[in-house]
Amino acid sequence: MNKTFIVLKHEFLLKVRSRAFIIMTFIGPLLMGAVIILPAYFSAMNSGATRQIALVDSTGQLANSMLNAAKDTATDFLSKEASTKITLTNALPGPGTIDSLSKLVESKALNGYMVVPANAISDSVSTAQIKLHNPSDFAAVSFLKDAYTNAVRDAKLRGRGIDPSMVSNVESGVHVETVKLQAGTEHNDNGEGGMIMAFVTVFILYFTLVLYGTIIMNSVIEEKSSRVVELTASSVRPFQLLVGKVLGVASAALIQVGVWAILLILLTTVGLSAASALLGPDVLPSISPFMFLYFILFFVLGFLIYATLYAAIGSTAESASDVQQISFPIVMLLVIPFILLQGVIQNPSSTKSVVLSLIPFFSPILMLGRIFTETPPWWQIALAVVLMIGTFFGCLWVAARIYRVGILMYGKKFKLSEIAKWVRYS
Amino acid sequence: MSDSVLILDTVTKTYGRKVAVDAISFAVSGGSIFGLLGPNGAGKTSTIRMITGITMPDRGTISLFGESQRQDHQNKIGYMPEERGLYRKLTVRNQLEYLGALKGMDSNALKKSIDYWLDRFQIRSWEKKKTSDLSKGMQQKVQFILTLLHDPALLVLDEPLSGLDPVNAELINEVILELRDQGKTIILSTHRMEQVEQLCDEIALMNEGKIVLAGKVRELKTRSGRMLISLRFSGDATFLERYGESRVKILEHTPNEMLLELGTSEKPGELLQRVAEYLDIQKWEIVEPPIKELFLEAIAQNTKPAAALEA
Repeated sequence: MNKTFIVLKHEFLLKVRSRAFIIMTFIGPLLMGAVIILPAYFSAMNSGATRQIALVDSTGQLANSMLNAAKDTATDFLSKEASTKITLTNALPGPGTIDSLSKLVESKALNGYMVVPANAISDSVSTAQIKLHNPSDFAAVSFLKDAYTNAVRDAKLRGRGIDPSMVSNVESGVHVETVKLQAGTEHNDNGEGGMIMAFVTVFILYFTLVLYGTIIMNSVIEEKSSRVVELTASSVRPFQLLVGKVLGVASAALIQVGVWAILLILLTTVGLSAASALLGPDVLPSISPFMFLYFILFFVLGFLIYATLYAAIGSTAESASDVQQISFPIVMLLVIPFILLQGVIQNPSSTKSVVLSLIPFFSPILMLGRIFTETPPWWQIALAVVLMIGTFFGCLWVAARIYRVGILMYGKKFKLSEIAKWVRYS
Repeated sequence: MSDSVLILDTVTKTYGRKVAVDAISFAVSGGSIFGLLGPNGAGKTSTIRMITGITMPDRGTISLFGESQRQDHQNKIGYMPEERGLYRKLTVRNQLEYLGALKGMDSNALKKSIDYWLDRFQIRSWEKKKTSDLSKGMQQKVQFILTLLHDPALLVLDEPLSGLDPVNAELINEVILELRDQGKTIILSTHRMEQVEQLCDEIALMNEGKIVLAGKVRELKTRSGRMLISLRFSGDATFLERYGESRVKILEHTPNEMLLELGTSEKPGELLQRVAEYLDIQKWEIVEPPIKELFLEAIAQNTKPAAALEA
């Protein structure tokens, strides 16, 4: 049996049999799902509670309309604010009103109050104030804004002799639809959903690259610091050891990510209805098989590049604390595209985005991000893949040289300049 | 030498500007125990790493088993590094299985060999334990098994006794002799001169990357031409110091025993008469120089003065 394969098999089995791997594979998606869904769920839970809000209407003409809108929130469970229940009470404006309301809010007897200025209808510009115990209660804020804007608009229309119901009749029935047009096929899509998908998958990729890069690095450090590497190096070439290790751990990671991806697909298809009830329709789009394949392709290539670099770094150190300085450039190579991701996704076909996504170290994150938001021209994807394969072999060449020297060097921390020498001379 | 298992021909290894191994040549005959000796930093480990194929010589050639050195020769070499190391989180058996497979063994032969050696070293009941749970002595046994597992024709043992208790040390010496009797060739790097005396047929002594003394232990001792006397006595032996080092040099001195070296013009018979006047002699024996003496002599003659090293 080829020795590289023996190392590969050993590293693979070692990884997939470990308790941490099994737990992460099956608990990981639950945790990730929790991270995505729980905040939305809690905010929905929270909005289920009834808010007590007082209204100080200095115009005296808006309170009725707003109070009616509030009543609807308690009954109309199909509306957008399905679970936002607001009880609005009318407070008469007077000298001590504001003070006593503030006290009630402080003592939490009241969630907040809204002050409508006397010039709200008469002047073209005016400002109302919403004072809340919890200013980030978006459900309450958005209800109050909508109700107030509608009430002011209706009042202004009436003042000009126009029946507000006429206006809503005219407005209704006008819809705008966005359609994603690509490669001659049309399908309804939701840009927001694609963006979330891009973030979720790219985050999984980023997270896995860093996690497994560190795992490989630590495994190299352990072999070196326990001195067992001298024994393995007397049985197998360092290059075989390096390749076997990277491929073995990569196979394990691929299985883990594969399980995650399948669970994610299940979540987005089977669990879609349940999720959309919480998050709104179409926020989670389905993943097409092509996207899944692209994800796997970019994951594998990114993994090979970064795992090789991490292994080389590990070989220069005897303890994990030694490598922080040296591993910084590699971490940066991953963090920079992650920071750039949002800009690239918002403008995926700009020259800047295209160039950035073709940089091999950035491609796993940025090209994948582009693929999930638009479909870049095939030649750009192909070019990125070719560049990444080339980069992998380049990294392997450099890493093998560092590794070969590094695993047998003990006793001191190495600077990058010294490591560069190993590459040149060995 | 046609029966040489290992031949090094002007092998050189440099690390940066430091010449670790400087054009050394030696041969190791099949079925012998060969001692590779030298002070720390002499280049022994660098030499061993080239023999075991961990590193490559910068210049010169190495032949193994009558062929130019190849990658698959590693499968026929058993190596016990000075810096011992095991996978801490693997069980004893997993460890042996993995590293045995890396030596090219198929799984059946591997299983048989693991069983044999675990029994031989009486650690069978520990095979499912993780290495980190083993005592140091146990770990050393596992390490030694790793060296022998694949039935290597050439064993390279770097300080095999370091850190061993006397019981394990004896066990390992015993196994080394047994392997030699089976026709294996053993290269032993050690600082323990008594082990060299006890085991080695031939030695090569390294200093500052060069070989300063090499040959069969017997011949080296005869060739040295030094006259040593082993003396056991009772009484006050301080009068011997008055002779001066050029005539009688005291190499070792314990309360009742001495090792003396006589100057070239001294006659042992005359000295015996003088000594008998002062001391009650229980033993008077003309002996060959111990390897330790040859070692110290060769190092002293071949070490550059400190000033030269600085420059």
